[in-house]
Amino acid sequence: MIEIKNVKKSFGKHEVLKDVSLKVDTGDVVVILGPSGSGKTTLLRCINFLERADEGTLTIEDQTADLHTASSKEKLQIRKRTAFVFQNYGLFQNKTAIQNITEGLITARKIPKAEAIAKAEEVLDWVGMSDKRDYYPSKLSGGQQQRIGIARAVALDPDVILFDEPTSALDPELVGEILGVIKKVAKKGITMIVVTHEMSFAQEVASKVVFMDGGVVVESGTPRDVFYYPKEERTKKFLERIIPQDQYFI
Amino acid sequence: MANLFSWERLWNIIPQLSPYLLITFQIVIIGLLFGTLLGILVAILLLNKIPILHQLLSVYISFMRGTSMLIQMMVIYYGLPLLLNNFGIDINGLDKLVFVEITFILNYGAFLGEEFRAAILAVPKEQTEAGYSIGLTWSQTFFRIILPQALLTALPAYGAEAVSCFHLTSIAFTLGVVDFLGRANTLGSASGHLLETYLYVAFVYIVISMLLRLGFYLLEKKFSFGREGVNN
Ligand SMILES: Nc1ncnc2c1ncn2[C@@H]1O[C@H](COP(=O)(O)OP(=O)(O)O)[C@@H](O)[C@H]1O
Ligand SMILES: [Mg+2]
Repeated sequence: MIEIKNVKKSFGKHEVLKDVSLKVDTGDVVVILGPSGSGKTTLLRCINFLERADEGTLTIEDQTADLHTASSKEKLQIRKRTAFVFQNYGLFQNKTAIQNITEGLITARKIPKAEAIAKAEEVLDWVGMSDKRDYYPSKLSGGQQQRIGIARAVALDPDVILFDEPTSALDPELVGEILGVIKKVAKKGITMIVVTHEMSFAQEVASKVVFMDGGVVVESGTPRDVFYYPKEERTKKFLERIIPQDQYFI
Repeated sequence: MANLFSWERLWNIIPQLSPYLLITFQIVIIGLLFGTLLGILVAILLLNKIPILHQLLSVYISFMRGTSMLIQMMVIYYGLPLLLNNFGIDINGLDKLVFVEITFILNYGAFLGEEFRAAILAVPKEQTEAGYSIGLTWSQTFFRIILPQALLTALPAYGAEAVSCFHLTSIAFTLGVVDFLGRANTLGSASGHLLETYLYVAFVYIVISMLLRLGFYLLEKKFSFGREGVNN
């Protein structure tokens, strides 16, 4: 179980997260939707301590950390229980595909090298990238890089994987296959929080959809509730813009 | 014409001059090696903006960049023993070559420090964040992810510094440390056979600089992380 409580974050005078709370059951896939600038990325970054929240707590299973005051030790512990899939892949440019995956296993988690390599090879195969094992990121397409990015996260065996718009930097024709890989991750039963604009993906995979706007959670519920029976005016307006009308009532 | 140049004299000069190359190499290798380590340290300290230390570093770098190496060597040669004397450390018996090497280390530490700082800043911040996200500490991220990429960026400028280093070693002569070029100067003027002497010196420097360029080219190729002509 992952629980985020009362997260607040401002950049200078700009209040980006205004008291956001969110609960994710183990094995659930939570999709976060919302217009650009609503604070979705910032929320994920606060969970992973890439951004220091002004207030709030995070509970992962038995561990609770204060998102504002956590010590560097706690920060590191939380980071080892979470993984992040970046919009721009975030692969280490000086490491090959397999090294990108083994780095966290060997250096951060102190897993023996042979074991880490075996694990990485297994995951590489699982995302269909075995033949690119020794390629540097600069030699891979965006879609291939994101497969490695996902493999890197999965190999760490985290309590939760945070996806920040994992397909929005990709060429449109590649989006489908990467969403396919992310669905495979979901089927493994890994807990996930996914920020995405891909509605059909959300509908198919999400256990819960959360709509954020202006730094607050406006509405949340099952995909069916949020997409077909939105209660809030702001949710309706957003969905009208993002879902083509002819698809809306299918 | 025959008096101006003779092959025989050239052959005679080679064994008289060549041993002094060792001194030159010693200054360059120690200067660059420890200068590089110091440069990395300087870059890290510059980037962390630690109060007071940051101001001290600025003064150090301005001095190293704003004065000639000869002046720096003099300041170190006469100043360092006085400074250390205050702490009860006596270094008067130290080999003069050590002062030359300290000068080179401090000078290259400053120049390379600035170079590395810029190269580290040029690594996208997502690389650091990706490191943190998989649970690496700051130092693991820095030394395993950021620094290798920064060093690759700095490599061409670094190669140029290494070549220039060879030409600067002759300042050691001022302290009475005779290196390759210093020996050539004395030998040339004493014997009057300047042409042969400097032809040989030029030949050696050309070979060294070609080897260095080849070395850095291979290094760049090996550590390009799959990118071709990153630095071209
Ligand atoms: N490091 C930062 N400094 C200042 N403002 C920021 C920073 N990061 C994000 N913001 C601002 O916070 C708001 C929310 O950003 P973000 O979380 O990226 O939204 P989303 O991911 O929903 O598009 C935006 O207005 C953005 O400009
Ligand atoms: Mg975003």
